[in-house]
Amino acid sequence: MVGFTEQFGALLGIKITCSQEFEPMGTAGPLALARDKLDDGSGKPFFVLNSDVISEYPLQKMIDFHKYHGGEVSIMVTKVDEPSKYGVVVLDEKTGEVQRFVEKPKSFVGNKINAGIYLLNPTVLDKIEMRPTSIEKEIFPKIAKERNLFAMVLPGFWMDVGQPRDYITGLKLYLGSLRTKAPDKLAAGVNIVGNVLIDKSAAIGAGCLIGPDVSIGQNCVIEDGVRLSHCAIMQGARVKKHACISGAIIGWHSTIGQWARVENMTVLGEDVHLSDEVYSNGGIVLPHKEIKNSIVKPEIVM
Amino acid sequence: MLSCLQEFEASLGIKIVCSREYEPMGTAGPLALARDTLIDGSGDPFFVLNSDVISQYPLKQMMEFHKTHGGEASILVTKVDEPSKYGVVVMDELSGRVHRFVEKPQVFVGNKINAGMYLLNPEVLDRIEMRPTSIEKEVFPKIAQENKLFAMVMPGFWMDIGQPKDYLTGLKLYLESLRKTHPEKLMDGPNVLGNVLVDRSAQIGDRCLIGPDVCIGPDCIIETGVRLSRCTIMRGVKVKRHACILGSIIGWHSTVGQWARVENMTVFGEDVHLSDEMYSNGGVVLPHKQINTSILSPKILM
Repeated sequence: MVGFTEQFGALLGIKITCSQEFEPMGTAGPLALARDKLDDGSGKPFFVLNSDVISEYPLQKMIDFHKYHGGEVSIMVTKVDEPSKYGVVVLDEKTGEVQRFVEKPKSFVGNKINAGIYLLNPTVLDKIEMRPTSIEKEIFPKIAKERNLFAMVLPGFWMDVGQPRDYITGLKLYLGSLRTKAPDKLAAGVNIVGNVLIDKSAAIGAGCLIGPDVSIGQNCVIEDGVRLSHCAIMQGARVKKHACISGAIIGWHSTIGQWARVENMTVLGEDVHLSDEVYSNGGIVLPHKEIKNSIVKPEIVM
Repeated sequence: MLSCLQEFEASLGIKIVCSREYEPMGTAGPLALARDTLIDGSGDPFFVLNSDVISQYPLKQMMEFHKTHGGEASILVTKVDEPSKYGVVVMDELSGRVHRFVEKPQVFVGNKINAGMYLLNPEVLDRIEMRPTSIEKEVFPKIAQENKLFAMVMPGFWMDIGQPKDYLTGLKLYLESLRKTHPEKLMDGPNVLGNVLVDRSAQIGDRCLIGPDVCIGPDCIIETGVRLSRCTIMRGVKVKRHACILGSIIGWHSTVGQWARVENMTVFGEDVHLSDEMYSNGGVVLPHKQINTSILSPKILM
């Protein structure tokens, strides 16, 4: 991961530092832990972005919104069909001022939920004790009472990508959004169906059929005659000839053997090698494994 | 079936006649039914060959054996490991004279079973009434009592191929035997593993990997990048690009789609079409069907 942060730091021309929790600090505690890095004395607000979501990240709009209302905290909310599964944010539709949070409401109180994207003034850090603390349950409700918490409805798509199945849905939404906003980033050609994103360093063989809703990472090798659909192929993975992958996540530096078939929400961790002609039906395989026999029904392979 | 027979008549220079039962006549009745066709007045014996077995058919040896003992009927027997599943033939090891038959013996009486291949003098027909009759249970025991039934132990392989699984085992044995007796009939090359028999009219694409224990019938088309192992591909079948077929039987004029996977004793009847990217795990599919969704666990599709 350190290599990753160095790589992206260089690529984006930014400085990336990591703050390490030695015990779990909840969703607010880690901010207190990283206080010295977050508060640079300028008084400027900082973003807090949960990494298990995906959206269009309208960060400039959020900054403008934050300046406009002048409150202490801005959060993004998103509209969902089934709010009872989440924490609902009850807000003033005009100003965006947050009135209260209701966790998994039994009756309808609203359909906007916390999208996990925040913009916080450094003063918030004074409210967080150095102990396991929940920002949604302890910090935000207090700020809301002080009428200092405002919510902006997220434009565009949003998806919680914590579960593999939702990750693939999130990928689909993300690529759909790219198609609208930056279609030249997507792959095109006779071997491509629908929305497909391929890193420029990846090698794609002849006679493949790729897509829809596929992303292929850095240095991947996709050999001749491969079929990929609804899947994410992580950095450094190799998919050998004639294999067929549908609805799966293939982890970093893994290999899929010749004529293998992978489907039904298979997830392979880092450095997993599926032998030639093997079938995986929803296998969940932990890292550093060789799979020589078919996984015929969904199960975890440790 | 008739045109198939005509083809063989022409290629072998023989006459083929069909005798039709309008009600089931057992294993002996049909011989009485076909009496006029079987007796040509010459007194020569005739072969009776059950078509659900495969072996090396040592017909000449059988004729000599028949002449030597001068009895009324000769049968071929084969050695098996588990005789209790079959009808055991108890015989004199030196002369081959048959003492008796024991159906599925509870204790060990011998390990030779009826291989379903007979050589009968025309007089046998006088013993068979025109009604449903079992040759093994009614006719042979009578002839044995008269000391006129002799058994020859089958040299080489034998397999009852009535069940699909056994059909594939029989294929394996047959190809092994071919490897010893007529290796030039088997296919060779970088795309071939083990014993593979391919009709000369079949077309094989490039970058396939075929074998072991595969047989491909007349006019089949095997497209590029196909993997075949332990399977039988009947006449006129088309297997599309990158498909993978393991341990299965594909019926006449069927199609297997691109990137499809077929395994675990799948049996397709005539004119069955598996769509691209589908999976069949032991599907048993009756003729004239289009399969648009995967068959995830063994079942019969009517």
